Amino acid sequence: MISTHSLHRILLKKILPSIFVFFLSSAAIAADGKKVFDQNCKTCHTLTDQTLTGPGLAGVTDRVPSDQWMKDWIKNSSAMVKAGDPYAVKVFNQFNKSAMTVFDGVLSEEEIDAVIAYIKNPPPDPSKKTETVSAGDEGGEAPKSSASKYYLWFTIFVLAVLVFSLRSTKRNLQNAVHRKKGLAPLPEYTIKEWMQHNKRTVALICIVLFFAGSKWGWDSLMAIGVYKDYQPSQPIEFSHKVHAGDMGINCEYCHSGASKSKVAGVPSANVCMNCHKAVSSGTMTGEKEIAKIYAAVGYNPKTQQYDQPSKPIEWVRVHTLPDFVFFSHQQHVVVGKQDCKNCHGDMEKKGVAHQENILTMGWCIDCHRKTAVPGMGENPYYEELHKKLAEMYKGQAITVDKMGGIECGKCHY
Amino acid sequence: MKKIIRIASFFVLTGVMVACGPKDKNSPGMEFMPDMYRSTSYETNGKTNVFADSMVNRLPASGTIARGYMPYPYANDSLGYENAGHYLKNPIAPTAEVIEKGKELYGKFCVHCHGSGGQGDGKMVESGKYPAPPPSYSGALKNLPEGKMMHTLMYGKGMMGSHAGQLNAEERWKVIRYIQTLQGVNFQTMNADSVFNARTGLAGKTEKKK
Repeated sequence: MISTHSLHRILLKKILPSIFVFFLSSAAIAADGKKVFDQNCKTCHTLTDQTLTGPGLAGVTDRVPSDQWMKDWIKNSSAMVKAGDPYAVKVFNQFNKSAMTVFDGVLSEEEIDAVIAYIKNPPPDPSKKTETVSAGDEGGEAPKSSASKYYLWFTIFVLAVLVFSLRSTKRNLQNAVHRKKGLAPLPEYTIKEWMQHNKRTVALICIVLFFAGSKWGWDSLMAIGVYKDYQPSQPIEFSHKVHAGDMGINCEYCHSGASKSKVAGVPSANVCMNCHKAVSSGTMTGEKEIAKIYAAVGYNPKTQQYDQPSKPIEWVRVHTLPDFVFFSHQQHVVVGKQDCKNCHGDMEKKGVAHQENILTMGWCIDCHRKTAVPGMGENPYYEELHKKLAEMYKGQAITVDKMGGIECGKCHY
Repeated sequence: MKKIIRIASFFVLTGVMVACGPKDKNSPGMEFMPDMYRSTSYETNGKTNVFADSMVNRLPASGTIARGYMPYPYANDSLGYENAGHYLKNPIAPTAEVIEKGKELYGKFCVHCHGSGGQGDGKMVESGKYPAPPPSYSGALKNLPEGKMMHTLMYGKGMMGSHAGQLNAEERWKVIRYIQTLQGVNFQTMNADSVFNARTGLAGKTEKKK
């Protein structure tokens, strides 16, 4: 019994390491190491210089005192810190005194060897390549559309000028021909004479101008106090498309007030830091914009400490309802079960925050007339009332306006 | 005559260009009676010059406790984590509605990292942008007691930040109920006490304390 035990020990201590050294470059061990690393280490460590909960492991085997130290540390780092190993204590203090998981009994000796081999020879990082590609194709989307509009108008203008100058050239040439042939030059009209000669055209132009003018006047009057398409530039180039679309983060993760209060709210920067503590380089703007979050919360990515002075981010408010109207997100999201999209549009596809709808009273009432109240009969408190409503509007859907949703006092008081 | 037509066309075209050109996105447009739009009272997330940090949102005065808020008794260190794991108990019974609500909240606040099945394979991790995939609830975290989950939601752990600002205590406990189903707990065959005791190994100890 004892002899087999010691045989095992000899196997583990002497023979296995030599086999391991022999197979150091072998793909089989590296692949195994990758599996061990992904399952046990990846949550806190990267293979690069980037620090997560624990240090980045690029070149770690050269940093630590010895290979044996590294193995002991993986097995039980807390014991080493308690025993007062100077390097262990230093690392422990450097990373906020968060103890590494004990792997003694979890990982076998071979697995530890394999993972160390894997850390020594990490595979090339594939994420770097995709980054540059996606940054290139998503960059200049917004400015392109507005610029193309300008180009269109500019082309129309140039063509119009061309038509007029060609007309006058043609006239000059005709006059020259007439002069040569000894004919009288083309008659010069004054505007008044021309108008007298072309009454129909004048009338047509007047009608067109009248309607175009009324439409323009009507539209500009209707746009007073309507913020539709308001899209102010923000202090940080935040993209809803990347966060809500590509990363699949729910609207309420950041705008968590929507189901609890009147305002959906702009998240405080600690919510940004839930992810950006680890993600320091963005899809579209690299490190430039994310560094602004770090500056706002006073975070130093090098030391992983909040040791700088903090300063709030001054986001520009996009949606504002007049002070004389009451609106609560909670009512609409929780009881009304409205999707954020119904009012704010597909933010997953659009980058910068903007006002999607006109948000006028007519728009509100339109929706209140059309939308059936969800969850009728779910709340026993209103059972009687809901029964009466069902009797009153036999067969019809109970929309918001049928239960007082368009009373003045509902929103204006 | 030619000149006049040319000048007139120029003005008309410029007018059309200005009127139909892209709107200035940085301006909300004209306002009728702005004083009825812009409140003199403070708006949420607004700005003020009364306080040095210019924020309208304030923290509660020190030493006060908001109504309905229970202070969290465990400290943000490894001892607090272990203690929470041993003694902190989910006050919310695992009814079907609670688990349903927990699932909804999980879908809003957890899924993008932890993945729909709690395997640590959310969209953010799969995109490769987020370097640290969270451990799996049915794997490494299979026996994680509910008190430790609460402690983590309260203070954060590893790369995960605190979610106490986004979820109140009740919501946190509901999410934890749902996560326990991802760990493989079948609540239909257990009551709240036996769940707690099974997960903490404290069977009998809680009785003695009373």
